[in-house]
Amino acid sequence: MPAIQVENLTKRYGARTAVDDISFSVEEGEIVGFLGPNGAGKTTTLRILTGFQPATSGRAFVAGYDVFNEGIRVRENTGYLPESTPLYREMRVHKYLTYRATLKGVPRRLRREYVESAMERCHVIDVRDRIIGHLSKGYRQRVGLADALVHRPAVLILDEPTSGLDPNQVRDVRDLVKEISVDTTVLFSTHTIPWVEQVCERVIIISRGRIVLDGTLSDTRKRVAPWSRVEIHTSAVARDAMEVLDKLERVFFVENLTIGERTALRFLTSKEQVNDACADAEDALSSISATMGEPIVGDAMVEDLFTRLTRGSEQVVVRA
Amino acid sequence: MSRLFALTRRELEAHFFAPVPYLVMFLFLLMTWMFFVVQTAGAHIRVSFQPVFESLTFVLLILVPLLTMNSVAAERAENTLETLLTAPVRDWQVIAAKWLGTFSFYLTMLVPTLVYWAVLVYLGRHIGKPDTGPVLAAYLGAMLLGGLYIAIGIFASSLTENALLSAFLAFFTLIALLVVAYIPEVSSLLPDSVGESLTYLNQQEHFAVFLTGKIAAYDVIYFVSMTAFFLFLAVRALESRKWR
Ligand SMILES: Nc1ncnc2c1ncn2[C@@H]1O[C@H](COP(=O)(O)OP(=O)(O)OP(=O)(O)O)[C@@H](O)[C@H]1O
Ligand SMILES: [Mg+2]
Repeated sequence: MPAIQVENLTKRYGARTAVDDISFSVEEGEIVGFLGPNGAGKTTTLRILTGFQPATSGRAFVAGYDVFNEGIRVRENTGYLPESTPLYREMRVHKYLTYRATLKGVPRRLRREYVESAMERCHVIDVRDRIIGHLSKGYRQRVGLADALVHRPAVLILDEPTSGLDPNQVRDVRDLVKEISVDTTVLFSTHTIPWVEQVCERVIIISRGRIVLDGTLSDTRKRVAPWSRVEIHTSAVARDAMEVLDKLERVFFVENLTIGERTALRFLTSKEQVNDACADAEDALSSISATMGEPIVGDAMVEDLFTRLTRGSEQVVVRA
Repeated sequence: MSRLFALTRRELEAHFFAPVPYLVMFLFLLMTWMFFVVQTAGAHIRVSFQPVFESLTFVLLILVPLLTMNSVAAERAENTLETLLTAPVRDWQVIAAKWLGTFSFYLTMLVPTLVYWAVLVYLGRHIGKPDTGPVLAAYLGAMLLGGLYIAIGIFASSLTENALLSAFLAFFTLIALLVVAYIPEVSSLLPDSVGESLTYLNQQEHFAVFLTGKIAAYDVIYFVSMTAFFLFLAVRALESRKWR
């Protein structure tokens, strides 16, 4: 049995469907990124897997146990870092971790050793006697991670482990997760793509409660290979330019990148038709009496696929 | 067992890291001391311990909600409830530990009142010491009363993430228990037998018995069952996340 198996999981809040009939599995030892924009249903899914909330329908197994009937077993074998890293702010780091190890059933004689090694792995040894509330966000995040893995679970579930961190700390946490994944199954959610590209073998993209992509990173790269991304500058107002470009057959997913005065847009097009598409764009812009600068053409990236899958209409997803 | 103990210990320790519990303890000692001084000052024949706890039903009406208002509500607001409940612990263990932890703090609050007893024993060495039996009965009553109040406070706290709101909810629930039997509109609506069972809910009626020095199973059962009932409701409130 896989480390995580999800079958037809659905969660409704009243009339709103947060998770809509999703199925996926994560094999033992894998590290999988769970990607999706805000409100896609990532947190909801992870909360169901950790037994914090039940699903409306469907089944899920974690570490070989049924999430709905064997919740305690699941939680004994899972380490979970909730979205905002909630911690008891008044406690000291090592006391907190010892407390958590006790709750998670680490036998008394092993507790000290487990806590020490979790602190070492997460590089919080130097703040072991500090009060959690006085720590920086990066350190609190690491304390949260140390908590998640203190009982040496088979499966780690992390909800946006790097949100709100500066780039250096993002790198630290990323390396840490990669290190942990050597002997643990990891499922983590995020909306930053580079993260996924650097640590994951596989990615699952969820959008509006549905899985729109589930595959290895190399498959995903192959999928974007036939596509180019084109950046253009134009004298037109962004809104007008987007309107005319959206109508073009060979131009997809027009995005507004404008920062300063000059309008900057990005769109995708198939590699073979890139020259035609640029010509189309120039014609379309001149029809509203605007000019277009020299287009900058590059390879499409996983990020573009993400944009396409999560922002496009259903129809476009099929076409991709 | 070690889980329940660890949970309880954290709960108790949390009281010593916040300012409000200290304030509550201070007010509690101040109030009991005032009742003690005022009521025993004029006693010449035989000193009595009873005044110390005589107004406990009302003193705790304000103090216990302050003590319990954060217990679940703060964990909800800070989201630590998610960390807590995704550890391999059961909902009832969490609530039981919250009660045990706060109750332990309450017991620590009662300890200094033993001084009043000592003072009475000393003052009464010529005119008659207070009998030990009734003092012990009063302490048992005080413990049972506090236990019930704490259960109600935790229940109120488990309903919301707003601590202040939970304090008010607890306060009004406690008031309701006290007065419901005496609201004419309520009792006139009900048949006599039901009206009488409403007086059964009144905590003061039961607590007063302990202050007279009597320990009756009837009153002990009242406190134990009511405490268990409100803790049960608190567990259900915690579980409510599952069907919301
Ligand atoms: N308790 C709740 N009651 C009602 N609706 C909810 C509740 N929790 C989540 N939702 C809704 O369910 C949907 C999915 O939310 P979820 O938090 O799972 O998204 P997410 O992918 O984690 O987003 P983010 O990246 O912002 O964290 C959203 O539309 C959200 O508004
Ligand atoms: Mg989320």
